[in-house]
Amino acid sequence: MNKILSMVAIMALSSMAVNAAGTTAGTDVSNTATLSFTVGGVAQTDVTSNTDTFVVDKKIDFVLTNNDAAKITVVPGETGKITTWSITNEGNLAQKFSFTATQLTGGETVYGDADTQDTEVLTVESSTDGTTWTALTSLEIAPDATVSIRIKTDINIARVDGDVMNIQLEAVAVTAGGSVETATAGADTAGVVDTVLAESADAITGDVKENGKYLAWGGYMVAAPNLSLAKDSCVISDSVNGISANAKRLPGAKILYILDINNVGTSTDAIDVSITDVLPATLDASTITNLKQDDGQTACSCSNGVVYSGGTAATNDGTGSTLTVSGLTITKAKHNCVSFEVDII
Amino acid sequence: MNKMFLTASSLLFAVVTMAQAEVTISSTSLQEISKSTPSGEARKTWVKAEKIVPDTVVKYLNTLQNSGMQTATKLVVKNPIPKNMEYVANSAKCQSSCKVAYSVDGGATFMQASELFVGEGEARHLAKASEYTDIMWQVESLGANSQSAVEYQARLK
Repeated sequence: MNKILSMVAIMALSSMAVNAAGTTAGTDVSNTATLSFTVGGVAQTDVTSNTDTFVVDKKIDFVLTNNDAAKITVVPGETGKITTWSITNEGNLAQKFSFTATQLTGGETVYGDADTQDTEVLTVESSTDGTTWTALTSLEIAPDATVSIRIKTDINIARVDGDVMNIQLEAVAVTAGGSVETATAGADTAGVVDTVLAESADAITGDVKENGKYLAWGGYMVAAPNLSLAKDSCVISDSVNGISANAKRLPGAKILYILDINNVGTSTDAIDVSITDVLPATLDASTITNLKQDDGQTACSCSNGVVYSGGTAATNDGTGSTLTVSGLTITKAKHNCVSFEVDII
Repeated sequence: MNKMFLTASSLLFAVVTMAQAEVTISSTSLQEISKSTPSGEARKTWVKAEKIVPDTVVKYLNTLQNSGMQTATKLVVKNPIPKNMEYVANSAKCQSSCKVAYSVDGGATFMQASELFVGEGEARHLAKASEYTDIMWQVESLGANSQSAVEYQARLK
């Protein structure tokens, strides 16, 4: 007896497992009851009810999701940058969907940052195995099935650190012929598979429920150094005043040059930066001394009569009147002060 | 004597035949919808089940009609839960007093919900409503020219 009960339970569970999207549209569901009774203590012949049958209607239900969990970090000029998405058909019949990717332009906030810029052209692709990707405009998806989608785009070289480029993917349930699915209005048509739109609302995009479409948002954010360069000079000493705040730019005077490399970007350190300074003929390149770099400063400045005291020794990779310093790091939102001394001819 | 016996037998047969013919059961499926009243208030009501998709709850109403001249007693209604439907817990009711029992073996045996177990060994557990296969209502009597009903709800898988 127990064994029989177990088999029934297993069969019931198996049936549910293979049918998570629900009973297939078009299925007839029938109910029949039987009645036994007695009259005057005499058992009567059992009576069977009519068979009540309805046909299961078509439930269009699906979820479109951006799977990145955060904006994709990009740098200006990058190509083929990908955002990842997926769509799951939670309806009870194979369903065709059309897809459209667009730029968000209303300052919409995605993953915490409001849209400020656009990417280049958006290309939608799909894959059933995660390996082979094909261009996508519409696709039929089986019940319970999930299809991976990606959007590829390029980043304009003019984008700068902190630019946010949010995008939208829209999936619309369509008929085999491509028309937008609509709910069967009013009462059911007995014996016919009617259409019921049942997809949920989306709290992020504001897409309303049960309209046959689903909106999802993703996006890109530029994380790149944003460098500027300024040059300043002070007089450390001259042949008359020696090392003095009153030293003048006389022939033979020692000049302190400060090259201020400012990383305005707040997200990324600049690394492996090279800087080149071609000295004018009025300076004696052979007298270059105290070449230093000093990263992490809030500003770069010099004062007459004062030797630059900070930083660490740097190497001049240039020759002659060309001074070159390589391998510099400029910490995000900081300055690297490259300094050197040189004499006026 | 033979004539009297035949007459009595014929009368008894007629009564039984009449009782058999006049106690009927009919099954109807209903679904709950919201309707707006003229004042704009949303009110739920059960209507003929027609627009049914997965997760819709259907109420099955089995109406018992005794059109005969005698009281029917010991009425037992058995209703296999349709394929693709799962019973909604505690939804089996009857219009008058009755006893409700359930089966998990296709109607071979019926027991109270608290006595119905499935599985073996460590997997043995009190049957969940979704594991029921059949429902049985026991109604003590149904008077002449009267009507009663039993019902249950099931969710489309």
